Amino acid sequence: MDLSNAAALRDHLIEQVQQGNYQLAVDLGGVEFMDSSGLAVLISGLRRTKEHDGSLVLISPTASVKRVLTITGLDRVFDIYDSVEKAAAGASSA
Amino acid sequence: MFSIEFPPEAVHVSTARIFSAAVARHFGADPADIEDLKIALTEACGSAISHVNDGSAEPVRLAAVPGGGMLTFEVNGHRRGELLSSDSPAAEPTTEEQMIALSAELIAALFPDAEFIDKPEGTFFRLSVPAGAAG
Repeated sequence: MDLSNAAALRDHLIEQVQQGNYQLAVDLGGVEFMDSSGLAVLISGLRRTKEHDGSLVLISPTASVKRVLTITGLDRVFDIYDSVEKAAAGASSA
Repeated sequence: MFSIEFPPEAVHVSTARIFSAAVARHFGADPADIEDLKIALTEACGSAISHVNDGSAEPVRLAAVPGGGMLTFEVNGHRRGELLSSDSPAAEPTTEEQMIALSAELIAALFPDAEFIDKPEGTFFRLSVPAGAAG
């Protein structure tokens, strides 16, 4: 995910929030690369859901994506789960 | 020297990433360095593109220069308009502002010695990785 396609995710997240979906999970299992534009979109999405007392969690980021999350400290900002099921369980127990 | 030029459009950033990784592999760079290189050069090329807001067709140039046991990458971007920025007075940083801050953070963490020069006429970025036996 880079400048060429991050906007598509941004638009999708905005659409979800506008439709009233405030508990969002982004599956990063198939994302082999992410730059700052992708990270910024995730932060923006998280902020939008939090404005409605919701959350945006990340699912199974690849090693490459984990690395950029760690470097930027965003691994401490986002809740990260191995699967959607674990994320759902985490959300219900929160 | 190996180089490519591409239009200042986001769709071409992945090509620059593939090019830089292929050249680094050709010169025997460490796989871990190549992964870092892909991140940093994607950020540099993205920055060069973000500085173009006037429909300029001036290409972005990415060059790889081997020498002295190192492989040096340079990104040159041109600018004829003002730096893209948000007019939003919001207290919260915009996505664009966050992207710029994150980009700088990533580059600084991965390549502390990288050079980034931002001039009215454009941007210049340079970083080096050790070349392997093939270099």
